[in-house]
Amino acid sequence: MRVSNRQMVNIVKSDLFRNAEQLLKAEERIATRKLINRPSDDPIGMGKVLDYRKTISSIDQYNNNIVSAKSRTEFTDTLLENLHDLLGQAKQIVAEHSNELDPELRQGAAQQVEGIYDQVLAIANTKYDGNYLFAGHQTDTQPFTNDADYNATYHGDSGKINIIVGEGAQVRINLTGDEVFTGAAVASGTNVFDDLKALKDALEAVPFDPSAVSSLTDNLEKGVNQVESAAVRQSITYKRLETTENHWDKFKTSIVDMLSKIEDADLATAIVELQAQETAYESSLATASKMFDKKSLIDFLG
Amino acid sequence: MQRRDWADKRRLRKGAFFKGLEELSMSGIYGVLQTGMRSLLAQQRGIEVTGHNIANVNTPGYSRQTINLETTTPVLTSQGMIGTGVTARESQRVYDQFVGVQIANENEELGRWDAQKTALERVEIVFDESSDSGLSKTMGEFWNAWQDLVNNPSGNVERVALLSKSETLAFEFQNTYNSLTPLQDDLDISIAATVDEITLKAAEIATLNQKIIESEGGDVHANDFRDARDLAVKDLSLMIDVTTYEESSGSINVTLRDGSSLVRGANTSELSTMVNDSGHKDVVWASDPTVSINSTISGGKLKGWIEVRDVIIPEYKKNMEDLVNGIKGVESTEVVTGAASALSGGEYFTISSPTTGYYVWYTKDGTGTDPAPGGTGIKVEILATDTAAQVASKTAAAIANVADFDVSVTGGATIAIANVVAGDVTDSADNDTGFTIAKRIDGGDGVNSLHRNGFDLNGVSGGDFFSGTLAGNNFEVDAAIAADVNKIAASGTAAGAPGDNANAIAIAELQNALTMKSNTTTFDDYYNSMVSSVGNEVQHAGMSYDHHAAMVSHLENYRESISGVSLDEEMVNLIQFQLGYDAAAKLISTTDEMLQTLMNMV
Repeated sequence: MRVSNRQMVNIVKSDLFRNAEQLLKAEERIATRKLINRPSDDPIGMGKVLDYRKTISSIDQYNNNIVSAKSRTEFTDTLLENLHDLLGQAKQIVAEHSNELDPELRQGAAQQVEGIYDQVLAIANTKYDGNYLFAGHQTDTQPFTNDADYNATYHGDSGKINIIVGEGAQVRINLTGDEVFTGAAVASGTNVFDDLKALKDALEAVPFDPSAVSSLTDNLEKGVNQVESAAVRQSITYKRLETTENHWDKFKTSIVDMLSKIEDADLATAIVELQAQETAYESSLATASKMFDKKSLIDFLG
Repeated sequence: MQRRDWADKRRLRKGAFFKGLEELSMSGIYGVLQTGMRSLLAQQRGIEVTGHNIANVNTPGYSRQTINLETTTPVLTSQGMIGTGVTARESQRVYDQFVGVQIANENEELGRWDAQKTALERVEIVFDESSDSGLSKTMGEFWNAWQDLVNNPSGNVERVALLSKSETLAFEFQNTYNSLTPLQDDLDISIAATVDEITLKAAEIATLNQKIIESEGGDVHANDFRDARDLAVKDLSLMIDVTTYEESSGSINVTLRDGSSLVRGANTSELSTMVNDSGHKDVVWASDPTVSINSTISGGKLKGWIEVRDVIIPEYKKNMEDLVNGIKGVESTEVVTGAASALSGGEYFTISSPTTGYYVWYTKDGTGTDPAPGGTGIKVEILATDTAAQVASKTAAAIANVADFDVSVTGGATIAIANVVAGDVTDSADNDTGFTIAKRIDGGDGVNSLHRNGFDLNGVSGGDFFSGTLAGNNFEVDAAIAADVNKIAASGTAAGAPGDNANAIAIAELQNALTMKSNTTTFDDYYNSMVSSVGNEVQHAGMSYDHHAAMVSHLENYRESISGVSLDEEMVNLIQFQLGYDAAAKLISTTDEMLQTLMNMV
């Protein structure tokens, strides 16, 4: 084959450009530590990267939802425990004072019941994060008020509040006042305020009727059960939140791993690649200089 | 001194020598002189051609030339045939016509993909998601903000955060969409500039045609003009699809692939541009300036640019519009002024007036949804089986329930509205003017349609969440919500606000709903596959470019191998001709000496 001077120049030029371009790519991969620096580097990979990123962002959000729901559930749980104790105390009072003959002591017990009533009311009206916990959907309305005769009224509703813990997965996180306190929303429920008021009234009643007090035992027991079953529901919710959280944590780890496999440049490989490209580039530079240094016939003519 | 005399005499006789060269062909000592003379001239011509080659070693498109040396006609003498020396025929360029055509063909593809590649690389930058900060992330944050609202539906912080994320989303979408337009405009400039360049190249070819016709004839080859013309055709093929054929006169005709002529002999047809319906520049013939020839252009940069500008970018824009419409859950709106006859069951329509702001909404098939903005609408339940007359009378009855309106049905299906009242003030001047009935056809679940199903913090029905369109350059969060975050409808029931988050859940779950592409894919996947397809297009253009660049470079090498100048070769030729020249000179001086010897004998 005939070789002309321009041919040599063209080949050297295109060789240099190609090697320089590949060197630049190798350098970019190291500088950004990423295999995919633009969609065209790996279109399918880019689609996966975006999908994984979206999944990770969603998981983070689910975990946020779960964390805030967990602390709300924990808080509710503490309240229910207190409520349980208070109702237990009321039961205790019934047991101790159903045959109390001393009006003074009965009066003292009645005051104790009053105190319990107030504490239960305070629990029922607890706010969490600025919202009433037991008001159903009416989170900015104080759910329970009472009149001078200790007749309590519920202003909330039986609205359920769910949170999102996954794709299409929701968990109910609230308990309403009519489930825990008035019992209107549960089968064979009892209104704990009415029960406490009845106990107070029975203790204060003149003449005193011991059977009126002891007959309240059943209702108070029902109230305790009502709170207990609410607490059980809360703990199931908590368990479910925790399980879901663990699931997401594990899932996220594997997604992050998969993302990194597609997206991140392995530094060792990238450096080796860069060195290979550097060598290629340098050798084409060397070839170029050799080629232009080369003696031509002109040098040998006198 | 004597030698110079001889030389002078010889020069004087030069005319006679040349004149009688062929027929004279005399042998003898003078014949030797003439042979030497011819050899000198021929070798000198060889050195000239070699010099021309050496000088053009770096000239683009140059084909090396060779000199044809031939023996002159011998003379027949009594001693037999005696040679009379050498003559230099015309110099010829060394050239392979076929390679030239192949290069031009490949160049068309090279130009096309080069144009696509560079234009698409700019599109790719618009959709850059590699840095973890693109539209994809913004969309994710938007949906996450809805989940935050789920966690605390009455929280002001969550509502403000959602508003801000929504505004970012709308802005990013609009911004990305708008960034595509300047790319199209830039391509307009490139296209117009290229069209001008094509005209210039065509004129150059026509001029060269003229020169070639004038100078060629017989053995004469206009080598350098032909090289220049070949180069011009090659440049032209990079810009547009051309075919050429040479006429016997030596001039070439250049036509576009559709057969229309660009250069014919010394005449050219001019290309120009016109502004098309979408405001972009189309290529036209200057002689027919209103007929676009865009669709017939099949190669070169023009093809690449036109494809990116008119097919690829509009497709991406359309995809983004579809995505935004999907997110909004857009309804198509159609104005049906005055008459209900155009309505059938299952459609919404509104009667709105700029002065009153009243809305009348139809709901679909008794599903009971009441999408009236601000809750001021009238709900009319229409069944799919309702006739136009039934639609009209139901609507009229519903409107008449609002005391402010005076409604009658005429002609069976036309609703006439009179005595329009703005607010509480009776405005008789308004009469039935200023009203438009627009029917709205629900486009499936989206943020807007779900948002209208919900209730805001005040227990009022939600309005549209997003308003405007990308194409209208006004896609944004609805002004009412931007002004008051309490208007975000998180609740599923009017009574349920503020604690009810059912509607916020419904909207948040849209993220994973199969809403796009006839309910087969999610918003995120739709966008992701769009980014992937941008990447694919760039990669494809890049690969095609590389492929054709390799082809062209291979062909160029082949061409250079045939036509390129090799300095080594020229050096050899130079020495060869120099030696020939020296020897011819020696021949003359020897003959001179012989003549002197002869003279001295006298």
